[in-house]
Amino acid sequence: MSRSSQVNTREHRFTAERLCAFLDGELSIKDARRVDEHLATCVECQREMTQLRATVDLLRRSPVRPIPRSCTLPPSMQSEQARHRRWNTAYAVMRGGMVAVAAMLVLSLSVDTAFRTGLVQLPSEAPAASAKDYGVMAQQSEGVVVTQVVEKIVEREVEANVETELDGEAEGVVEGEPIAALAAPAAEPNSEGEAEGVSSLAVPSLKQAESPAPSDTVGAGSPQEGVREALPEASTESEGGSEPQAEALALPVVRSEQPPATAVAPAEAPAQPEPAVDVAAVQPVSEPQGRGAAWAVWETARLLLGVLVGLLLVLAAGLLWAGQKRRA
Amino acid sequence: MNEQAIIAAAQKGDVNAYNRLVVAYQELAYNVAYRVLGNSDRAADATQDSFLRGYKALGDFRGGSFKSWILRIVTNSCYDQLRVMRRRPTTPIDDLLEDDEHSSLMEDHSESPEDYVERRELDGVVQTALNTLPEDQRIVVVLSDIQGYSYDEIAQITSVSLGTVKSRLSRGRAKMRDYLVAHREQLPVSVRL
Ligand SMILES: [Zn+2]
Repeated sequence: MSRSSQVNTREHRFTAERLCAFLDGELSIKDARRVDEHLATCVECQREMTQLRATVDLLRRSPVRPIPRSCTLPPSMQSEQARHRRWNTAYAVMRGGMVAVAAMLVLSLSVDTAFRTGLVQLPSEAPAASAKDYGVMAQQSEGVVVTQVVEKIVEREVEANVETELDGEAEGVVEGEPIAALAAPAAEPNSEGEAEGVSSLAVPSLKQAESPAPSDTVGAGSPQEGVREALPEASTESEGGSEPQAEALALPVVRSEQPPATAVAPAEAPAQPEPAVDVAAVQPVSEPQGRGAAWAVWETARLLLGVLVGLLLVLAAGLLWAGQKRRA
Repeated sequence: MNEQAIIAAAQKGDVNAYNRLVVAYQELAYNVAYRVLGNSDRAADATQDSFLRGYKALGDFRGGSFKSWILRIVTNSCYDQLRVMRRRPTTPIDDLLEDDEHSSLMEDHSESPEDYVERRELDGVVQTALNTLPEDQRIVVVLSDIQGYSYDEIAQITSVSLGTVKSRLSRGRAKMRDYLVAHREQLPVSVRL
């Protein structure tokens, strides 16, 4: 085989592979020139080229068919789409609301907890939080359940009650017995029925107070006074948890809306000897002092908490409803 | 109203705006589908399905050529239809009915009855030849030689590389040539190879 025919074979193969692209003008200038040069000398490639061009021409001329039916969408698609968008918007708004409320809930919970554990205090407040408080904080900041906080709240309220009782008793003439009666349940502050325990505490002391003077008259400076002062607290704080006791107490009780702060206040001033059972010893968690301002913050936070939880529930219900409507 | 504005309106859910796009491109879409599928009912289904899919996926359209975008959906719908047809091949009865569709060609009042007959002959032979190609090659040949798209556009529409487009077209076109040469007596004299 001569050298020129070898070159020709190579060029023939090169051209045959590129005739299609050459026909479409999709070759590089260099390749196109090479194909062009080979075509000038190769009859076979010329014929191939002619047939391919005729094929393409024929295909280009193939008739256009009219579409048998229109593919336009029905107007109902519009409303469906729009409805979809409305739901999506409502959904997004509610989801955003949920997130916001959840964030506020977490925030208020942590603020509440911080106040209650004494981690955060008003400038005048001295005592540093105990190790136990830090433990509680750590537990709660790890996103642990609301119930814990609620338990804590109940615990605090019980303490407040115990203090109130003690204060009342301390002022009262009757000594020894009521304190002993109080001390027993107070010694187990973590038991579940604490609220009940407190109200049942109030009952014996009421009986003791009333037995010497069954009438409803309030004698100034009489032994009953201290007890009576303490009772409203017990009945208000344990509301719902112990109806029978509350009713039993009802007669002598003057329902007061006084916050426990007033009841706590005397604790700072008592000149009386300390009772046998020290509250601090029973409940090692140090109470933040000067709770007047802090208490108001707690109460507000708690109210806010209630509102937020309500909102959260409404939003959750709304979300559920919207989701079902959307699916339907 | 230009196409971009129409597309923007359609993307907001305006079905009337979208229908203007449908009207503008449905014939092109149908003709691509018909040449790929070789059956007018299947082609109409594929076209309808494509525009429905297009409406739902319009949020994904990020500019560029709407025509290329909708043709990509059309080719995907065609692949789906071809899968269905492979499972349930059309009966010979269907093919006969298809042949009897005299109204299936676009009417041209300027042409003579002879021209019309010639056009129908050509239409039939082209479709038969296309049906002999593998699906991948058929789609590329239809897009390139019947619709006149560039290699780049075909690569975009069919989501394959430029090299794949070239080789598929080269092989598909060669097969078409072979068929038309072998059946040249079926072609109108004016276009015989
Ligand atoms: Zn050659």
